[in-house]
Amino acid sequence: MPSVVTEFIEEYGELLGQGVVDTLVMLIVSTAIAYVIGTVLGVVLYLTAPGSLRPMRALNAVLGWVVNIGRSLPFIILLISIMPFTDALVGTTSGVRGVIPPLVVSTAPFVARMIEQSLAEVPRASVEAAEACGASIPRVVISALLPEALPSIVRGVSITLIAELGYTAIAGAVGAGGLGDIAIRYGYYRYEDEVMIVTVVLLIVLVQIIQSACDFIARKIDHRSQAEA
Amino acid sequence: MIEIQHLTKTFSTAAGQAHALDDVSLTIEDGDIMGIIGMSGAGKSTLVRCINLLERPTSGKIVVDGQDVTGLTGAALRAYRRRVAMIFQNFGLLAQKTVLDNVCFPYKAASGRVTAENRKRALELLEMVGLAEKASSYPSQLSGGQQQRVAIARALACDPEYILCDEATSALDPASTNSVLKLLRDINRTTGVTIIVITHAMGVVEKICRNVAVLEHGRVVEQGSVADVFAAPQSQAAKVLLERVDWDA
Repeated sequence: MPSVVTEFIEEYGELLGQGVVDTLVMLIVSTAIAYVIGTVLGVVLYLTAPGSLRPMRALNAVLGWVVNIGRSLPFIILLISIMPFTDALVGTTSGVRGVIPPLVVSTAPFVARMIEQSLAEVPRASVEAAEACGASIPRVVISALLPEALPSIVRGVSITLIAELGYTAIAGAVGAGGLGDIAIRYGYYRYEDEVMIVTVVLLIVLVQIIQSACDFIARKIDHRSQAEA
Repeated sequence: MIEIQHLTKTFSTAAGQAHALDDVSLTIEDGDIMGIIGMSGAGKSTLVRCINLLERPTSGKIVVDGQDVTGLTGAALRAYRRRVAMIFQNFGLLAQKTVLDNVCFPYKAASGRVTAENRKRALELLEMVGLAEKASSYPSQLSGGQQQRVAIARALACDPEYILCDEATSALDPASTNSVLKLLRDINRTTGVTIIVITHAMGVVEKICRNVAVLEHGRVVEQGSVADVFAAPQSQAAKVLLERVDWDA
C-alpha cells in the first residue's frame, strides 16, 4: 500500500517542496516590502483625511485615487502591463524574482487601506489625549496610533497574506514558480490529477496556518479584553 | 492666569454657519477651580478645547500669563500643551499600554524617551491617586473611576500649571465621581494647580469649584462665585441647571 505514496513522493516530492518554498519566498518578501510602502501610504491617508490630525484635502484625494487605481487593476493585467518596469528593476519578468515587483505593486495599495482602516478604529479620545500631552504628529503615530492599532493590523496581515497567496498562484500562469505554477503545469496541462490535488491541499494548509498564526498573535498582543490578566 | 478674550468659534455645517462660541470673555485666576457649566451644545467643550488649541478659535485670543498662545504651532505649541494638561470624559488612555506606560506617555511625548527618573515620578503619581499596585495592569482591567485616576496621574506627569477637565466625571457613577472630584480638589490644594472643570452637572460645580461661568448658546450668560450664583441665579440657564424652575409650568 505505501508504495503508491512512496512513489508519488519520490516523483514529485522535491518539486512540491520547492513549490512550497518558492510560494513562501514570494509571499513573505513581497508582503514585507508591501507593508513598508503600504504602512506609509495608510498613515498618510489617515492623517490627511478630513477631520483627522492633519487634514489635507488635495493630497488625501490624490493619494486615495492612486491607491484605488492600484486596487482596481486585475492582478494578471497589472502583472503584464508593468513587465518593462519589472524587467528594469529586477532584470527578469519570470520566476520568483520576476513576480515580486507586481506582487508588491498590487499589494501595497491593499495594505494602505487595511492600515488606514486599522488606524481609524483607534478611539478618537486616545489620539486626542496623546496630542494633548504635547506629542508631535510623528510621535502620536509611532508611540500611540500604531501600537494601539497593532492587533487589528496583525489581523489585516492574515487577510493580506491569504489574498496574496491567490495572486502567487495566478502568477504561476506566466511562469512565476511556486505552487500555482505546479498546479497549472502538471494539473492543468498534463492532467496529473494527484499533483493538482496535493497542490490544492498544500494551499489549504498554508491558508489555515497563516490564519491561525495571525489570530494567535493578535489575541496574544491585544490588551483590550478583560479576559486576560 | 488664563484670559479668554472675545473668543469666537464658528463651524461650517451643511445647514450653514454654526456659532459654537460667540464672543466669550473669561478670566481664570491662578490656583482657582473654575467651573464652566452649560447644557449639551452650549459650547463648553469647544471652549475648553480652544484653551489647549485642540480646536483653533475662529477669532479672539487666549492669553496665558500675559502671552498670547492662540497662534502657537510646532514645538512651542507642544511645550504649551505640557503646561496645560487635560482629562477627558472617556479617559483617553492607551489600551495597549500598561497603566505605568500611560502615565509615562507625556515624558515620551516631550523627549522621545522615558528615563528611570520619569518612571519613578510616574510611580509616585500612581501612589498619589491610589493605584500604585495597578502599575503593570492594562486600562481594560480597571474600573471607570480607576481609569480616570490614571488619566489624572498622566495629566500631572509634566507638572502642569493648569488642568482642563472635559466632563471628567460624566461617565462615572456617583461614588467614583466623588473620589475623582476629591482627588482633583486635593491636588489643587497641595500643588496649587489651576483646574478648569467643564460639566453639565451643578453638583460637580457645587462640590469643588470656587467660581463658575454659565454658558448658553456659546455665550457667557452669568459668572461669579459659586456661592453667589447658587444663592441667586440670574440667568434662565443657571436656574434650569440648578433645577430652580417649575418644570410643570
